[in-house]
Amino acid sequence: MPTDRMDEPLLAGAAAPLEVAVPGVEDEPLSRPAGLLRQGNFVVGVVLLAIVVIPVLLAPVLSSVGPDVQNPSATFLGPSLGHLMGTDQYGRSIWARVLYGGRYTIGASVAVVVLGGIVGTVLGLVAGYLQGAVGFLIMRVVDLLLAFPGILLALGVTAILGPSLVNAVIAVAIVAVPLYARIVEGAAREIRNLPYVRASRALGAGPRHIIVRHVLPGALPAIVVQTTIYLGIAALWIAALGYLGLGVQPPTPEWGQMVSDGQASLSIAWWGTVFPGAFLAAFVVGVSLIGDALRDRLNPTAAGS
Amino acid sequence: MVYVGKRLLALVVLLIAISVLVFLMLQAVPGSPVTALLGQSATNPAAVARLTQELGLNRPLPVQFWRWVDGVLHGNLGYSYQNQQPVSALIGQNLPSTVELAASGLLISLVGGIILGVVAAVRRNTAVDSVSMGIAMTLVALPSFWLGLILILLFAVVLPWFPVVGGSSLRGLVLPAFTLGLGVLGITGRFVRSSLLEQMHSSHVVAARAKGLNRRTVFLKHVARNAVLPVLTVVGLQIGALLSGTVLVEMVFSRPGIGRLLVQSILSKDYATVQATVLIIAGFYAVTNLVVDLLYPLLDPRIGGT
Repeated sequence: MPTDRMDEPLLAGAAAPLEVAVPGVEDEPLSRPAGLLRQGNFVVGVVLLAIVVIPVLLAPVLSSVGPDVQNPSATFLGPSLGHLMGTDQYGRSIWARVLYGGRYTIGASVAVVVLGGIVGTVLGLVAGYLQGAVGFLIMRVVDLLLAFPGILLALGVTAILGPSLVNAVIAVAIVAVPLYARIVEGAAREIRNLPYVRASRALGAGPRHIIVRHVLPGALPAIVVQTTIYLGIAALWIAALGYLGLGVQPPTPEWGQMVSDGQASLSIAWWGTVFPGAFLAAFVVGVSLIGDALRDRLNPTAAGS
Repeated sequence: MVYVGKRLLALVVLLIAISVLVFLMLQAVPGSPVTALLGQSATNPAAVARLTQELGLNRPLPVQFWRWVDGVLHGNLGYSYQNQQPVSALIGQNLPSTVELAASGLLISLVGGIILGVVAAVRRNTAVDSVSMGIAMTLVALPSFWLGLILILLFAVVLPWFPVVGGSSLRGLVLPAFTLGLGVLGITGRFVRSSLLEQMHSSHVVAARAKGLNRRTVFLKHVARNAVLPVLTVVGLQIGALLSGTVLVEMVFSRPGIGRLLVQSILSKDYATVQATVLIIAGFYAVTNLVVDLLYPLLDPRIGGT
């Protein structure tokens, strides 16, 4: 009988970790898409994104003319079956320009999150895991960059580098770097002291091994959420720089630059402004909805905010 | 007091760091600072010699920096060769218009955002809530320059109620202010909702309901009052969004202002003006953030006591 009594606390102790594991199993794993598909905002986001991205990818199939083909006898035509989105002052097809233009806006935004994401993540990992003087220095520079309103930083960088698509990507990526660095630093700081990471260190694992095998995977959900949310913001800013004449230069079609192009003839040809902007808006709203859904799913503590 | 002192010290450090960055910006521009500042006038050897002397370019970088800071502190922000005017005069002409736009945009975003957030929170988890938050989300994501043009199309071209180009009249302010305000309104609405919901579920609110207070009293005295602080945080966060917004809105409506001055000076490579506007906007942003931080302890005695 005394042995039974001894078993009780042992069992209770064993039950605790089991209890933690059980709801996770019942709640279905985060990676399972079924859970996400049950979230309304995720579905709407995917649909919006599909409406925008599929035509952009299929541009050569869906448009019989190229984006730069001029037609002096067909200027400022309104939307019709022949010209789905009408034509501009040179008789160029807005439909073709919107589809091909999406490649620049979306492509540049993807480049921004890849570039900014990699640099920011590396800085965040170094600062958060190694800490020390280097980490301190990195985070103070991050704080300084965050002290500038994003657009001001982007405009300042373009002022130095000059207006072009590549420079716009660099400028917006520089704005993204501190955002990534701060999020990853926070995650790395937390993960480095978790028991399994300590155990790994006690077994003799070096910082490189621990960062790559433990800290990075742990920070990944936060990085994924940040990337989805920032992709929409990046598209907005690439287009904003294009609109201001500080990004893509004409005649290259880019949604923001096209909106600016159309503004001059807004009162006689609304289609030149409305359609490229609508595609941009749909892309940004779609990406943001997906980002929100992912955040609620991967980071339940931030849900509802 | 320690809290205030720490925050003030942090502000000073930040302002110094910002000014170093803005000063170095000119060094990063391709070519020498003199040709960058002079632009078209760089072909005039007399002007080049005078500016080289004035900037102390033959001196070490820290000395140049000090001269520049000294000038800025005395209100000398440099000379815009492109506009043939001192930069401080240019800023003086453009600042009031930006302040007017930002203030009216903030007002619209606060009033609209609070209404949206309260409606969504009171009718939480209903269709009203979903629709309100859908609107908020869409407003945040809409490109402000495009929204501005849509408003122009609807309310200046199709319905000729307002001027296409935002002049100095009050009527000319309506569309720019709404473009700016609507973009920021979504952020406020979402924060107001979540902050109210958090309060509604707190134990003191449950207790207030349990002792028989009616919903209205509970909402006003126990929920709304405590929800003010998070909303103040949002106002702080919005300052950045408002500043970014003014740049684009001023360009859309061809409205004079600091944002438009900045963009035009970047396009015309007028670096003296670029430096000064970046410095002023960043400085303003830092100071307003500090003001918001200092308001916290006044509203919530729990903060700042330590």
